[in-house]
Amino acid sequence: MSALLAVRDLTVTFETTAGAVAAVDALSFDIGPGEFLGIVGESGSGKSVTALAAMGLVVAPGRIAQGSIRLGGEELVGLPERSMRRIRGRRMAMVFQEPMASLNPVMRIGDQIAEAIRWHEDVSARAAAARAVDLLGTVGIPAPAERARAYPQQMSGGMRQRAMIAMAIACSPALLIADEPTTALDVTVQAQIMDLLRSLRERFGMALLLITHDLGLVAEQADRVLVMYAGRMVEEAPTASLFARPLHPYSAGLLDSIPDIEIRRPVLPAIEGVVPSLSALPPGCRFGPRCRFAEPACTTADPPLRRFGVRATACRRDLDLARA
Amino acid sequence: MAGYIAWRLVSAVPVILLVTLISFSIMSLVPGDPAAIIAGATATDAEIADLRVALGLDRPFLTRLVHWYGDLLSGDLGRSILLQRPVAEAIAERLPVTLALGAYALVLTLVFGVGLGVVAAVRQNTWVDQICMTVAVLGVSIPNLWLALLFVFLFAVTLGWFPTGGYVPFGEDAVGALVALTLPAISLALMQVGLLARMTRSAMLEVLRQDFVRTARAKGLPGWFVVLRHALGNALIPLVTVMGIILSLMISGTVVIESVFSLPGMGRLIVNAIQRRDYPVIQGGLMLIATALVLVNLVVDLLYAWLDPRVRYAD
Repeated sequence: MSALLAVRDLTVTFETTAGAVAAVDALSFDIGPGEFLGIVGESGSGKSVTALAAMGLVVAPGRIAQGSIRLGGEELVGLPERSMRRIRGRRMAMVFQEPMASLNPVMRIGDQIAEAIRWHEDVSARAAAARAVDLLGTVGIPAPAERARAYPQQMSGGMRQRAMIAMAIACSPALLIADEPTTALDVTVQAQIMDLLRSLRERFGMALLLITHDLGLVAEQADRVLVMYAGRMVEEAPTASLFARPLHPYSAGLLDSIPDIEIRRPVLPAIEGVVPSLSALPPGCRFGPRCRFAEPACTTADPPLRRFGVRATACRRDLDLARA
Repeated sequence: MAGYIAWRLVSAVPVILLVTLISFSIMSLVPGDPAAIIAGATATDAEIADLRVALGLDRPFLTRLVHWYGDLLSGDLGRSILLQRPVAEAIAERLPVTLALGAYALVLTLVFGVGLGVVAAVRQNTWVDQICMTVAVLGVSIPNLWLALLFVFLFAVTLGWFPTGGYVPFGEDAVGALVALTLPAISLALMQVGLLARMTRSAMLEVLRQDFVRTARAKGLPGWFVVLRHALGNALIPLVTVMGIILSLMISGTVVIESVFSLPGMGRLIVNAIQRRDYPVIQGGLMLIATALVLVNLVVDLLYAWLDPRVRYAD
């Protein structure tokens, strides 16, 4: 299978007063055409930065220090802004976390969608406006013609996120990146938005890259899951295999901390400690200080990512754990 | 929107009434007998008495007030003592000069103030930013008056590019009028340019780091379009307030600039009237300026609503 998006050895650094820190460190992964990949991790794991890097939207003081990002075989790293602009919004689009902050408060919703179409396709203003209304209907907004004339603050959070999605799919991109698309919404709306993303993916054959801190969100729908920790990929696996048997203690910890309606537990298990600061990483394995299975040897060297068929993990004790 | 405009217009009426009342009261508020002050030290008692009748000071305050408002409604601002003609006529003659100067300076302020601010914000912390902000600080720091004199010396006296002063009516020679007003307008605009450039820069920096700017870029829009349509469209909202302040500063600035460039505008009319204690002209001029300021604020409020749907649709 030739990948739609192929990321190789991607390192994104941010210049700080304490020197450059790598928010994403030597990350490699593929997304196939029409595939649904979930990237999971806590805040600061580098998942959002990965998405921004793919879109060419990393801004100073951040920069792509090394690596390659190919979309349909075309190298995006180092591509001139003029060429990158034609890819953004047309072949690859992104939905952001805060639908209120991510929409321009002084522009009508319909205009915000129509302008994306007009800059990519040779269509009249009237045709673009009509398509914006159609798109609002497609994402399940009632009375789309009326809503197209509304301003963002006149809509509910869920409506705004639907409008963001309409904007992103306006030019039928091959890849849709959704960065925490439901985090700012309440639970019932979350489910609706996830259903919408799934149905749009099936209908348009888009690949979907979902970035979330919530493993539960990817559980039922994603084809594959990639777990990130402190800028590194620690585990990659088909969703079912990951849930059946995680190979990395961090993934196992994340799975444990998903509430289960079937099991009554007095306290929800949590992973002790916090994600280390990128400028003060612990020696050896980055997860070591929080790991239940850590041994003295874990602090000597950062374990490399090892592949086992379709799975990969970056834990030196993976086989012991798999047997445990 | 129509309701909002109507409400704003109605709420401006009491303010204008108060303003006219204050302008009217000046003559009664000055210490001593205005007629005696106007007539001067050498005047005879009979002359002062005549002047008092001419000014209507022989009648009680309330009677005069009713007359003043009555006259005002029919566009009569009284007669100037020095010019020996109706005040309204003198103002009508001078106002176009000041309006032309103000409009010219306003255009310069908007174009260069907003332009410098946007460029500085987009190129934040580079040499471009440094240069823009240096120009802005110089503009704010150098007094209008001194700069105007400097301009006259350099561009008018030494280089001869512009006249040293004077006014050409637009009706007679539009190009000549623009040339004659260029140095005064630049002098009047420069301080405002500095102020507006600095405010624009900070407003733009604030907006440029917002999420919707990233969304606009993610849509594949060109950088200049993101800056002008999405960022500037939002940054203009706080700048409208600044524009109100700038217009007020300009109105007071015209007084100095008109004197330096000997332009026959409102500013000079009022300065001369103050020097000679020509109260009817002072009253008329003051009322006009105050009304203009009230209208400026009204326009600012309406601009807010026009630029920001959150104001328009707030319940």
